[in-house]
Amino acid sequence: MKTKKIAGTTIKRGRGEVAFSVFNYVFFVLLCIIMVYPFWHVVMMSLSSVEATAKGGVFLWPKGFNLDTYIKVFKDPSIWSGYFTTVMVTLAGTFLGTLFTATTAYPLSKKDLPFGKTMLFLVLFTMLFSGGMIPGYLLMKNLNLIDNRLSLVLPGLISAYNVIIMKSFFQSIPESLEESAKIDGATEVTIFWKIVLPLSKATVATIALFTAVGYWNDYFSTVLYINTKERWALQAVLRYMLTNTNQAMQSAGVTVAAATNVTAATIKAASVVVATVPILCVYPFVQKYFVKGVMIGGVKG
Amino acid sequence: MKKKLLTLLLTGMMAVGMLAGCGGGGKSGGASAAAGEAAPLAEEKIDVLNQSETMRMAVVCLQGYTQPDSEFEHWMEERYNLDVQVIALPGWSDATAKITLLMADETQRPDIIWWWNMEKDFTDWVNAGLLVDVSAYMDRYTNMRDYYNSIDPGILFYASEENGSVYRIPGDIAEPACETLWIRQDWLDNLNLETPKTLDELEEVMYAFTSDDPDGNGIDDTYGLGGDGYDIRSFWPWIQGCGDGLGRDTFIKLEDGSYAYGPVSEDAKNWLGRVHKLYADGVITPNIVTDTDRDEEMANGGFGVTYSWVIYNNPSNGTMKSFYSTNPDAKWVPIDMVAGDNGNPQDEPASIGAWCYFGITNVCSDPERAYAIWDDMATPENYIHRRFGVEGRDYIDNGDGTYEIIHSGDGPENTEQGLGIKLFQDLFSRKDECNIENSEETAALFEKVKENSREAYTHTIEKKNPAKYEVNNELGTDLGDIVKEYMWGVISGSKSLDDWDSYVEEVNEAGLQDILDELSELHGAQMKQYEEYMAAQGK
Repeated sequence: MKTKKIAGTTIKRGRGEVAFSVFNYVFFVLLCIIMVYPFWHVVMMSLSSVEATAKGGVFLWPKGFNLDTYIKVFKDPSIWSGYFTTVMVTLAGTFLGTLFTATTAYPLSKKDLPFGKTMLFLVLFTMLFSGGMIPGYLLMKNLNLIDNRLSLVLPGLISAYNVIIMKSFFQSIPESLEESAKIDGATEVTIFWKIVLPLSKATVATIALFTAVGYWNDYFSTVLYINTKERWALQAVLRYMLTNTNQAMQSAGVTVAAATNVTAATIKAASVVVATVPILCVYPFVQKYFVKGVMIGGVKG
Repeated sequence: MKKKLLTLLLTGMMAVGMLAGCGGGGKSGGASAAAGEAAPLAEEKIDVLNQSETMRMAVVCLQGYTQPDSEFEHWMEERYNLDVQVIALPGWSDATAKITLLMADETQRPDIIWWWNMEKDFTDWVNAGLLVDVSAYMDRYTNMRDYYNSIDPGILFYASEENGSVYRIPGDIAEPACETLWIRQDWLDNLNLETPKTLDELEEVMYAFTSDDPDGNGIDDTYGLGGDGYDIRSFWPWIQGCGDGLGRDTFIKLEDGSYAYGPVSEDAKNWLGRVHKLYADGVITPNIVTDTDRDEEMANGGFGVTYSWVIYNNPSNGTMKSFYSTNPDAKWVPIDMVAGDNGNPQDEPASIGAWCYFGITNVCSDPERAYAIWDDMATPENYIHRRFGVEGRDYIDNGDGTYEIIHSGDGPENTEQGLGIKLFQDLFSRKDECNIENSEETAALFEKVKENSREAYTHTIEKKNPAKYEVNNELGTDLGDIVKEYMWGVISGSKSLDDWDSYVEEVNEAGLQDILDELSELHGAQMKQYEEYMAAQGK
């Protein structure tokens, strides 16, 4: 019988409890493997020799270690221009998106906001019905933003879903905090910047992560609004590569041939890694806020 | 706190500023050409090499070299006094959406648009006056027209409208037949087998390739047949060899002038049964029932027979170079098509009509000059320059009609040095002697499969204006889905040939007869026009 010590006392764990724990460990480890392995497989394949990838099978480790594929992928100028566009769009979009989401959600969280319910309804309405692709295109066209990288930023600045999460969190902040600040002479703007936002780090970080991932993964805005290849976002470049590998790499000046230790399969794998790893690196930095932020918004909503 | 906020704000504004600075903005609209009616001709033939005014030329392309500022692009700009803008489409899957958007928006519409398989959109563009009629230009600047007529006068018949106007210029046409039967000669030699001459012999060889370890590695890792997955053409040797060879997966024209649907013919039932048995016996690569990439399958190897591209015969072919680099002792050879039940082996005929087109739009400031420029680029020497680069650096002319390709356009030099070989690849492509990539053997092979496919071609149906076939356009997709589901089901074993009658009934209920009636009426009329057109061409 397993026992557990808590603060000097020993609590006996029943067999069922132990079995449940074992089941949980096994189940979640398996679940973890199921989720992680596909990506692991792609990473290992991208580092393997062309002969090994041609044979296929399971890749737990690189078979015939080979970095040539990455060298070839980084020779593609559209990868670099794609990185530039995506990084700039993600930075600008995340900063402005989070800012506008917070500044939209804050007044909506106030019960005494004139026409608050109407405005909230208008926000919620966009969750169910959107203008669609053509009106979106016409809007960008009328703003003279076609073939302009701003067209990749502006349409996704505010998400109604994120506004609701943030509004719910703001409503959970005790009103007494704001009242005391008002007594000390703080304006609404001061209260928002100096009291509400610092208290909302977890939610802001979560929304920022949602927004950043959304911008990073967006490829269709490029299809719609961008004509010049130098302004394509990274995901559009990646998609072009995945669907036209031979063609894409040839036009990038890369021979897709085993003679150069590179094949379409390894190039696809390396391209996925190159386009995915940077955004994955963001997760550890916001991990501590992430779960907390989502839970707060959900429970209090 | 203030400093932090200020820093954050400035960072955001800087990012936004940089993005705004990178914007391209809309283009200035060019003078509208006389769209929807015959474009007016300049008083005199335009000398494209001596133009004082710089003309903008935004060109849409998908395949080939798509990076901006290449050597060839600069050559074009200097030679013709142009400001060339390359608009690269975002891959096959999203290209049609992008083309539609570009054409719908006058501020973004390119001067030259390229497309494929967009018949309905093409009709809409013509009706809306978005494309320029270039028929008059064709008579004045004749390089492209003469080339197409030298290949087959029917090419321009399918590109033109009933009133003779031409809004779409053929971008790329396939050779009259472009596939052949391939076999691993080294495997035949290893197993002391003869080259098969009949369908039965081919199957025997395939069984041996599967079971007798033809590569001698002691592992059961080989298959008889492989090729493009989820593509019925991979089974062409059986399709042409069973019955009268009419079991094709399309509508066909019979000798008496009537029309039939290949997938419900007895011939189709026959070849499906044979292919199913081969698949069930493990003689065919398992993934042939999934949508694989033909070149990747060929490069990976593992099978001994395939029906695939003639160009695999070229020494410079990237797919085969890839295959041979990992299989240096292997040897693929093209062989004659095997004879089936009717003793009349046929290769698969390709369409006469182009698979893609390009057109000059109504925003082009000078459509005649644009056409004249493209026509000048179609001359043999300029075409070879665009497609194969500079003599001595990118290829060597041996002087005897043969060439050695140094930079095929697929190597790193093309981009690293910005050569631009294959720029605008599918906006006029020559398949004659100007395609210097073809070796003598490949050219002869093309000729052989062409001759060997003419009888099969008599059953091929080509539609000049598919958008007019309204019944087919309404019912054809569902009909095709029923056929695909059943055929691939039978091949993979998830459906049975015992259900053939109910399958035929289902196809009939989906409106087969209505489609055949429409085909008979419209295609019959089209063929009369075709004969008149050809007679006018003196053919």
